[in-house]
Amino acid sequence: MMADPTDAASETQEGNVSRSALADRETNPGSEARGGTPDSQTLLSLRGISKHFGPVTALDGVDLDVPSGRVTALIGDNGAGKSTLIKVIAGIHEADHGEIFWSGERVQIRTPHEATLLGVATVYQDLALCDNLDIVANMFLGLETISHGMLDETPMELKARETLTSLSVTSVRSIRQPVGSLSGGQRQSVAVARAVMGDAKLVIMDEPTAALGVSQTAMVLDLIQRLAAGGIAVIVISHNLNDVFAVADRVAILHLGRLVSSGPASDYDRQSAVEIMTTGALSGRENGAREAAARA
Amino acid sequence: MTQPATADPEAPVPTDQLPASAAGARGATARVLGRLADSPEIGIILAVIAAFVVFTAINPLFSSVSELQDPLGIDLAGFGILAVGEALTIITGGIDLSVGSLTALFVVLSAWFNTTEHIPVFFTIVLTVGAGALWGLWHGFLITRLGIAPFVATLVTFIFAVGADEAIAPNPIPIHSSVFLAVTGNTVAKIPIAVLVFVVIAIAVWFFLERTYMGRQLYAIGGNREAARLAGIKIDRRVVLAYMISGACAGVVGIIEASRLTSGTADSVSGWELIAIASAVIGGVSLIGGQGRIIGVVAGAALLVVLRDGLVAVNVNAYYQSMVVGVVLLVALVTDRLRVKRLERTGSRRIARRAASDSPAGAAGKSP
Repeated sequence: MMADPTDAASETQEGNVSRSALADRETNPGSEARGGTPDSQTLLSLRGISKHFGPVTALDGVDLDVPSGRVTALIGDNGAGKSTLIKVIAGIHEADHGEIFWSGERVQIRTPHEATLLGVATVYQDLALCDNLDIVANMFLGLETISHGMLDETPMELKARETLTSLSVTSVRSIRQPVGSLSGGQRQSVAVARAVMGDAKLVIMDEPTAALGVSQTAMVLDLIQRLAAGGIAVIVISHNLNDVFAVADRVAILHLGRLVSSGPASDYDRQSAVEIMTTGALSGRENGAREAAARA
Repeated sequence: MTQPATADPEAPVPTDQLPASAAGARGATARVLGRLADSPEIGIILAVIAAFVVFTAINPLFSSVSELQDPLGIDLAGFGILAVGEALTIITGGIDLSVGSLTALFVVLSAWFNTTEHIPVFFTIVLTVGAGALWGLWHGFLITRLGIAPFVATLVTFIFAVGADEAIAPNPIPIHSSVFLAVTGNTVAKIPIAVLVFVVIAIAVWFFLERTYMGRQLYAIGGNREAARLAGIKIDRRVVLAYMISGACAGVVGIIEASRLTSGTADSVSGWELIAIASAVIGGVSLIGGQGRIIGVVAGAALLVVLRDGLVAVNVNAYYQSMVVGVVLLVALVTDRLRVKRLERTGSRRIARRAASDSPAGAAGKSP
């Protein structure tokens, strides 16, 4: 049932020298208009996604559209299915039912490797960094640049620095510094840089601000907005509604495995979002939350 | 809500002044020296030199050519090769307890191949080293496929091999082949062939760890296995490879010891797995995994060899030799902890200083 993520590096091991830089994305049409204009281009569409673990229904017929150049916040109570949903998108779990469309084309995402090939990059909650390795080694872990069978450090360092600069990550002292010596926000930045370096079109961030202080959180939220401004579709999972409303263009709310409400972030406020998260509906109205919130 | 990232109090240096090790040759020498001064290995290297000087002062014969060749050189080859293989398994977060008794088994097995079965020396070596690698493959299978803890998986071999070598050779099997005996008996430019073999293996493993993606991935596996898995690293293959190299190293040392003893004698070596582990740990390899370098492992093995043979050379009673080695291990561990704590306190300042001093050579002309 569970895909083997160790397949992911098999083909990406060599020949990753020429990845287009983040700078290329600045010209993406999605970059200038922010704030949920309806004509923004849909990158990922999920239709009727269901996932069962034995008798447990983790996801039940989820429909979700994720536009490029926008931050989509995925919120919901514990056990609502947020993690399962992003794992389906990231290829860690395969959906039992439903269809996935990528730029309008129907695709299968069965392994993390297939997700990576599409352009899905995931920044995990536990950050998935090796404290004992330096920033460059972490950013290129599993994707090392090889020349004549040897690690080729120069292009990796240049690429790492270029990516960090393009994300305006200016607070690290040395890209050869062990990741263990970085602050929480810096670690998050390295994890994001690793994610976007590989030509990602969709970046999924699981609780990016958990366990961060105020200034570090601001730094990460800023980073998320810059990603979207560069034309990348961003999905953020967060428990912190302050953070959600600070960065999200769109909000999608899961309740007990069902997507009960979604729409532009401006249609929601903290109160309505919390009510839908906890009860699955607003004022007792199933699936009518968006209109209700807009009216409120 | 959002503030510029540079408002972070820990953010004094802009990214475009970062050093790159893609620097010219000018910066390289200074950086190597700087790294050496900061490295955990420097203390061990100095200790080796100090111990060597002291023993030579007491007994000048200690630094004579014949003494340097045997026992010092060949002891270093034996312990050093085992320690280098052992270090690979420890870096992945595992351990290989079997290398000592496997070496004892391969001493007997190689003599049996060569003398009893009349297999030519070249094929004897291939068979013995291959048997070691296969045994490592078996360890890797137990550890990665069945999820048995490395300690236990290799402990089984440890116990098994202790009996196996006596079963194969209740009586010593003499080795007659002059080619076999040349492994420790002959020298090239006054260096015993076994020592050359050790140097080649140490350089090869250093290259593997420092310069290949597989080596870097071994560190990643030992550092954060989950991160390595999410990065798509083939963890099982890398771990199996580490145990295969460790097993093959035991095969090589088995050949060397058989050649030195001129016979396949059961129980010829014992406790060598502990010397291998101690060498690695003294050299800065963390038992937690993900830390340590080959230069340290070699220095750790050299320190143990110099102490062991030096104490013999100055006629210290055998009882005290083990005690001294134990004390050295303790001092190495305590020193390493103190160094780490000091680095944690002053590390950020030091890195900042080094970044500043590197930037003219490192960043100039390279910054985008």
